[in-house]
This record gives sequence, structure tokens and C-alpha cells, in this order.
Amino acid sequence: MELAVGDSTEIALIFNSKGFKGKVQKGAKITTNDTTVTGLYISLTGEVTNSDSTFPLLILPPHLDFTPFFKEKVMVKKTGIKNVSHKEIKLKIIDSPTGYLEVRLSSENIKPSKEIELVAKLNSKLNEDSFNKSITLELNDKNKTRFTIPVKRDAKVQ
Amino acid sequence: MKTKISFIFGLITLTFLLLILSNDISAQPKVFMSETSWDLGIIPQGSVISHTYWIKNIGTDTLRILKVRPG
Repeated sequence: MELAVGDSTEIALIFNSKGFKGKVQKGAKITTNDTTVTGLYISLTGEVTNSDSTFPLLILPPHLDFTPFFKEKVMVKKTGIKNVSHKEIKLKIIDSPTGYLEVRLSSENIKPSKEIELVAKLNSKLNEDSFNKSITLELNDKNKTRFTIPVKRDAKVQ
Repeated sequence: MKTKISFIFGLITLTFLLLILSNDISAQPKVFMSETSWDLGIIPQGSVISHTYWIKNIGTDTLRILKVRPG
């Protein structure tokens, strides 16, 4: 692939967490004709867990699936985010797939044992039948804990 | 007088040619990525996650992406 002066392009790093548990790191090495850069490396890190061990939040469902149901397009999906700790949590969306979804939280504050909603609305002009994307949330705790919600659509009708 | 004019003209032409040549030699692609790592945090098991990185050419010549190899 060639990029003219001033142009840019995107590279997606895709990771399948099936079969993994605990801390993971995946990456890729990019080689270009820029001789001043010998090793360009992009990486993803994370912690793979099951939905029972995602303290201080419980996100159900943990995935969003926009696969069409009986030829009817699915345009809006929601997930519940519950605060299972004893402290109030503030959170924000720090990454969402541009051009695919419009994502919003029903509130940026969650009191202990309370729940909010994350609503994802599909871009009606999207041409892709299949995709795998993700939404990342970040908490205001001392560790800036992050949660990533996978979003997908399969071309095959359910 | 004629010799002097020819000499000056030759000098100007040579300077001009050298300038053009030096621009061609110094043209270089330059890769830029504002972000090269991303922390997904807690990820549910059995899911496919993707994250997009942007790669830009901030140089003065065409940038070629020759290879992208997982590792």
C-alpha cells in the first residue's frame, strides 16, 4: 500500500479472546520504506475474564451483536452497566468505532448497586455487512480501569 | 564583457540545477503514528476485539507499507 505525502490510512489490529484468560498482549510489526524507522510495532493489551469477574462493573450483555434477525436490520443495541462496588463510579467512553456507531451512556455516574445503559446506534449509511469493532470505557478510579465491549455484525441472518 | 555575462549565466543555471537535484535527493517518506499501543482493559472471554490505528505520511515522498506481520 502506498501513501502520498500528507495521506493517512488505518490499520486494524484484531484479537480473538477465545481460549485466553488473564493478561494478554498482541501486536504486529509494520515495515515501511521510511529508512529512519527500523521497527514500528503496534500492540493491544488487556485482561481476558469471564463476565463474573469484572469488578467494579458488571456489563450485561458483555457484547453487542448487530447481526440481522430474520432479514430485519438491527439498528440499536443496549447493554446494562451495573456498579457492583460500594463507591460511586464515574465513567466515560474513550474509544468507539467512528463511522459505524453512535454511542452514548445514559449517565456518566453510577451510584453503588445502581445501573446505567450504554446505547449504540448503527450508522444507517454503513455498507459493510460484517464487522468486528469495540467500545472502550474508562473509569475515574486510581487505576483508570478500562472495560472493552466487543461489537459485531455477521452477514449471515440469524 | 560577453565572457563575464556567460559566466554569470552559467553560474545561475548551475545553482538552479543543483537546487532541483538536492530536492530530489532529500525527498524522504516519513511514517507517523500518534498511537502505537492501546490498553483494552477488561475484555470478555470468547469475543473478537479490534482497535484501529492511524498511519500517516508526514514526509516528502511516497510512503510504502511493505509488510504487516503479526508477532
